[in-house]
Amino acid sequence: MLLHSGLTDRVRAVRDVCVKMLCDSWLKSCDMNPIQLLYYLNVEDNEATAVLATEELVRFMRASNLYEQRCLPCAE
Amino acid sequence: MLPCADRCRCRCGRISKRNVAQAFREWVSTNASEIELKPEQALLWRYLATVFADDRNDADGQFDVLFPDVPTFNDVLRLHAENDFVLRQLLPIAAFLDIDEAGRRQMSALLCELVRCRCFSWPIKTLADSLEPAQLMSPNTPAAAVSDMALLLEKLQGSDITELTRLVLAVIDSIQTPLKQLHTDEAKQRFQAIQARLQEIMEQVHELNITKAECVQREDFKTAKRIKAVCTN
Repeated sequence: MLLHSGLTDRVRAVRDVCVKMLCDSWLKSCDMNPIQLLYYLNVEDNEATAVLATEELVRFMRASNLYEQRCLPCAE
Repeated sequence: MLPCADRCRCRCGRISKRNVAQAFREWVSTNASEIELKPEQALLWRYLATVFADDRNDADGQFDVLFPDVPTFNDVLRLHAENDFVLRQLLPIAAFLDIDEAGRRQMSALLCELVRCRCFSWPIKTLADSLEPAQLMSPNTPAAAVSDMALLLEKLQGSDITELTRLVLAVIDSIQTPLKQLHTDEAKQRFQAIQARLQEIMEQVHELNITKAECVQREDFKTAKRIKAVCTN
């Protein structure tokens, strides 16, 4: 799987780009919901990849401390 | 405050923020002990619990959903007893819970019960299919979580080796006794079947001997010779 190769690449820059793609692009596409993202990764059949992705997602969530959610529409 | 960026449809510049625990509460629903967790929820729960284990006491109960009390967690385990993947994700979370003496006993009893259930989900079927013992413990069988349960049981007992030994022996005994019974019953049935077949063959040989004697009396040596050949074979 491409994601697994990216997250385990020996070159750090490649890993960083892969993590950025996962946490920025893909997570945003899933409405910032990691469970939705993990669902698309099919965790039961791709456990190793899902574990790597989860580690990165949790690290990302912890780094941001407060977890940003989609803005609620304001009154006006 | 983080910029609202492209997710704000109304472009008001405001942003609603919540912490990870609040978000997780919504993802797994408010009451995880009654609702079946999906594999991805269990996986994320496990990793969040690992990461936030040190922060749980400083967050005014915000992390309660990640670290429930023992009875609630036992209910969650029991609810997912059939799902090997979810169970393997949930078991490591127990290491981060506040477990007192009563909770330790409750969880140990539950783990023993789960190991028994897991083991008995395969022997009856696989023995009937005459599979080799090595196949019984393949990772594809529902027994894959048994080793995790055993490790947790060991961790729960801590230095109390006597109690751990007693529990493990009780589990082994409760698994072995019905298996022995199963083997004995199977062997008995096979022996009875062989005996019945032997009796049948003896009767056939006896009948053929009578026929052969009659043929000799009639001086039909050709038929007698053929019958003798059949009996010899």
